[in-house]
Amino acid sequence: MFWGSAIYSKILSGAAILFILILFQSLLSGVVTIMGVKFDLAIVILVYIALTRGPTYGVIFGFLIGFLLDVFTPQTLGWGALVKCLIGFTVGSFKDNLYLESLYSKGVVIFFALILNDSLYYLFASGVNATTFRILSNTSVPSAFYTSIVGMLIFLGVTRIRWERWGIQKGSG
Amino acid sequence: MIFVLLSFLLLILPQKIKSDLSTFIFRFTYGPFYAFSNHIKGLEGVREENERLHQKVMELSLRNFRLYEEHLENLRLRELLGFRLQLEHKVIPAHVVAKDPNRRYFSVLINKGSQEGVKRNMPAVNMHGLVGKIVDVSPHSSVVQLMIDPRFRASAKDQRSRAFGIIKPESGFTLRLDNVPLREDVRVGDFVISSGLGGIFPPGIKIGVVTAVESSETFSKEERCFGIFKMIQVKPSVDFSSLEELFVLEVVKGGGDE
Repeated sequence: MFWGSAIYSKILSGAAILFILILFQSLLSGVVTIMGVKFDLAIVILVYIALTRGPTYGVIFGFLIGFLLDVFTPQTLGWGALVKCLIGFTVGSFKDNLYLESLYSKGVVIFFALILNDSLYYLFASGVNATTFRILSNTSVPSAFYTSIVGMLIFLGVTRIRWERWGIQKGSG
Repeated sequence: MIFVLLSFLLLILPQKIKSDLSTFIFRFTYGPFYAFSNHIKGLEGVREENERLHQKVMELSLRNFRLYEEHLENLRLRELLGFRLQLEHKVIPAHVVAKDPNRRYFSVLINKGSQEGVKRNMPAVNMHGLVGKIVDVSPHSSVVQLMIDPRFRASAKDQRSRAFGIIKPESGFTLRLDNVPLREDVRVGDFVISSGLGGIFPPGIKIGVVTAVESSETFSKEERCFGIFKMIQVKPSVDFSSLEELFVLEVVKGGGDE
């Protein structure tokens, strides 16, 4: 009974996360774009899951999130899923090696996860050439900064909510 | 491991299955939200009227492009009486129902597909000029590859000097006109239009305006120093960040003489 409810709870929370992502991508992604610089909620969610639940969940959610985003570009269906699997696994593997209490370290992880994500995608989309590097530097880097900053705020908010939910006071260990 | 294998499996699927699968997933995930969003955005009557007017403006814009092209041709080739443009366009109006939500933002999904006559490689335009081309077609939807996609290439020319080149994305929302020899006369402010070479895009569709040439400070010294081609930066005439309606062009052969 206990195990059954635990599995249901995990499935439901996973579905809720994906639902939030779909809702955001459909209705809000354009709203939070500032001067062409986009906020990537998918990477924030993936990094959060990988850092809190480890590489296995990182790969599972990486696949699901990547697949959900790939439907917009049927020509490269599967590549986004593969890239995000890799990112989920990599970030999840660093879970125990990072100083996770520090909010800044999470921001740095988001930044590099996004750069890795875009680099691998462009590598597949257009190969290694000058245009790829130009797009990476002009589009991905600003977006990575923006996503890192907002991502850190989201992490902070989620952590606060969890503290309140479980009655844990900051500094109590 | 199984998810990595699943990703590879998706990658090697035939294009037709990829398209159908994407359409299916889209319909049950993003579809309701986009439908809701679109419903809120437009009142039905206003939207139809707007669509009709946009279609009219589009047809007139295309005619205008062609007339201006013919005017320039007449100036250069007035001895060649009897020469006239052969191509006529039939436009298929379409709404953008979804934009690629990733930062890459290289494609949009439109609400017209093979049932409405859309085919792969058909050009997509709006009243400001060339938007891109169709790369994937489903029965009632299609994917338009935008000009800012790193894989996009089109033959183009300077409208004033007739210098030919290849238009390709630069970064962000800017383009570059490549393969234009150094001796060609291209100036800031010149319009860049499709050349018609390559067979996908009809000639005379506006692409953008030249914002910098190799002598400009826009390019670094290293970029300017070497090479046999000019460095030409082009600002697209289409605003890709606010695409809502566009038109798929079906080129219908006319009966003119060449």
